[in-house]
Amino acid sequence: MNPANATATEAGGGDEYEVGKTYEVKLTTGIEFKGIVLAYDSDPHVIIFHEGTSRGNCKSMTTRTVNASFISKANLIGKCKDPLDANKKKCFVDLNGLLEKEAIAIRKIESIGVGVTAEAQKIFDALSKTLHVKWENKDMVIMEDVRICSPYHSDFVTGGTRAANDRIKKVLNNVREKLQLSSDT
Amino acid sequence: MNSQPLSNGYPYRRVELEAGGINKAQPMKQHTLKSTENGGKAGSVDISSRDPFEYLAACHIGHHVEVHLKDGSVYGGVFHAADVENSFGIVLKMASLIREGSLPGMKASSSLVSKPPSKILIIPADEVVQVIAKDLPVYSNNASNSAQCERPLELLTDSSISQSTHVDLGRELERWVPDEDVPDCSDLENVFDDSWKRGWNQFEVNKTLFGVTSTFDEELYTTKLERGPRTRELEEQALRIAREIEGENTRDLHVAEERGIQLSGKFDIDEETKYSSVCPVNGFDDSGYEEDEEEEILLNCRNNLTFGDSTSSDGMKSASTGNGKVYEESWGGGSLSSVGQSCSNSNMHARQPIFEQPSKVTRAPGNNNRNESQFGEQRNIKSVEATHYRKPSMESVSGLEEYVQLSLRMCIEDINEDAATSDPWRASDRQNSTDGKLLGRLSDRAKPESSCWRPGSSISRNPENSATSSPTSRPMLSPSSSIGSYSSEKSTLNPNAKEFKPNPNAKSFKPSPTATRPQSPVPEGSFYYPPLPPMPGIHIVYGMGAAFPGQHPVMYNNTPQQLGPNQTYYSPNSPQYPQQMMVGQQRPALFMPPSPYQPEMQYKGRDSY
Repeated sequence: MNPANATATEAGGGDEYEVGKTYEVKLTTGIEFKGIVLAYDSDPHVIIFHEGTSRGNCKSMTTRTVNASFISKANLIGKCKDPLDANKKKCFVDLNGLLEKEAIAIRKIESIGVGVTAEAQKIFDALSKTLHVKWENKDMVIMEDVRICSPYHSDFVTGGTRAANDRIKKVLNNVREKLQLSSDT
Repeated sequence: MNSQPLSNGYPYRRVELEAGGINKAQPMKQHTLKSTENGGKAGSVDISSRDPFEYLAACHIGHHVEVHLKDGSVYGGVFHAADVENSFGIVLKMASLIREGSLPGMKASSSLVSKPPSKILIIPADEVVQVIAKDLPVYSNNASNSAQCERPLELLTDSSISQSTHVDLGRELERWVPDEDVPDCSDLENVFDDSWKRGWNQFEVNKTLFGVTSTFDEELYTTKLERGPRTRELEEQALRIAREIEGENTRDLHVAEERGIQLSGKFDIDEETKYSSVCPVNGFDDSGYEEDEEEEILLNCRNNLTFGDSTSSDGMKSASTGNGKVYEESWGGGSLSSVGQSCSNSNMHARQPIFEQPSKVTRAPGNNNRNESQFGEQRNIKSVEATHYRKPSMESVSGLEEYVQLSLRMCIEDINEDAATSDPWRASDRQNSTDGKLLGRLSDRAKPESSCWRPGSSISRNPENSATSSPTSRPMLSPSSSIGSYSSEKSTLNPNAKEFKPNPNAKSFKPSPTATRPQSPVPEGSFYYPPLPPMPGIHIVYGMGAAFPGQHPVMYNNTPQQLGPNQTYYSPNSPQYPQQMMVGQQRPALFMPPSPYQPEMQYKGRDSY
């Protein structure tokens, strides 16, 4: 693919973005960083950098996947061997694990209420430890049954069976107590 | 991927769709994963032969990344897919704009916070400047436990923990403490405390939800309750007796264990002693006494059943007070009387009226009887008011109410009680279930090796036992009545036993020819003759245990006779069981009425022996 607005294609070290080479990169957007080349693909022309100049801990790293089209400047500053230990060991990817990870991450993001107060979020977090709670705009919906509206007092608990409703009220009161929230939040 | 100008001005497509619903996303995803999926076993992919590029790209999946765009916007979201084959387009999930790039300043926009994240965001490759993944775990070994490395807030299943190679096998186990933030809802249990009052009927629910019809019949499992106009009364009595029994103290090791009471201060009693039913040679410390009493009680009960209650102080009151005593009958059982009380004579008189006085409940005056409550049960006709024999041995029996009932019915009663309205054969009202229960129960009771009854002792020990006060007036038990044989192995004699003096007024027994007796399903062979101490002058009358409803009471010859030691009385109407039967038993066995009872069998009297 030829990026139409590529301002710089092979600057600095040219085409040879070898694995292991350490570059100081400057992007067209103005971002600068240093990194070791972990991988390089010429077709999409993307380089994956390991941020930092030293290999460091192999377990986790900060990577930058950079579209080479936007590299304005790349200065070779060093070289190191085999940043991924790819030749020594076989690399495996646990797809299932990754999918789970993704699901977890999504759930976590979903648990953050949009436009709610910090206290409301705290209440939500506390409730979600033992109940299945979802945000619905600014209401908390528990088990798709019971709804707690702002300002999230036990008076604002609606829906569900009577037993469920009572239980949620109790839990909510407990949570509030634990969080030591005043009753007018 | 074509860029389409959208209404919002962004040159790329923002799709708010559920996962899997995007056509565009599919091919990209497939491309990304295709090469990696072909590689190896499920769940993990061997891409050693592949480009580390793909490997790294795959590692991004599920990670929170920031995507910088050409215009300076920064999107944060969960990396879902990247088109590795073609261009490097990115698919993010739950992406939100972190920084707007269209403004030259590229400052963070606080208004962005109020927007919910887009479920799926596709970013075309040419917009992508860079993708930053912070702390991306890169695994070089097989054990990719990416899920595990996530926050510990996510629940980790045991299997996932144990399968992970990152776990030390010898890890130190820590006691779980609840999180600080977890709401302490300890009082939530109260919500359903009164569940038994909720009117919850599981059977109905099952029928409604699953179409399953229950065939549960309570009466298959327990005694049939007869609910009539007197149900309330009987229940109250039952509760009262239950309270009394449960409030007792016990010295028996086993009973205390059942109740959860730390009985013995000695903690060197090992489990075998505590839970075994085999008694050591020397007996338990605290059970020797009771066992004897239990036997006495049983013995007396039997007598009572045989002869009914003749608890009048002179023994003859019973005859006249046929109406005086109507016993609350739990199982149609007999009443309690002390040994030797039952006067056949009195029984004779009292018998008939007793039979014809069903369901009369009175309390015997002036005695310490306690109502033998039904505990919710109600048997046929008679009610027998049974004395709650307050003795330590009773406590050992009274672990369970039913058993108490049964034993009480056979137990000693206050002699002073109005007599003989009880019919020994009212015990026949007792249904087999109770007998069976008694059988089982009694056999469970640990007994010291001396397993004989000492009726005399029971008499003396019973404070309520009028026999102590008026031994002379006690009606003589018929020698023909079934009497347990004296066990030659009886080792201990009751030192407190009093001599049994036959009742001179007792008349001889004449069975009526019209006796009928329903077949008792009680199996034969379960008749228990407790061995008797070889004490002179003691008449041990074994009831046949045959309180059969409607059965013609067999009146035994009331001629006072002295039993020599080691003489055995047998019930004429019941099968004679060898002594061995009792001796062999370590504990009081059941007291069961013999099975087929032939009312026509004539009592031959003592002479036959």
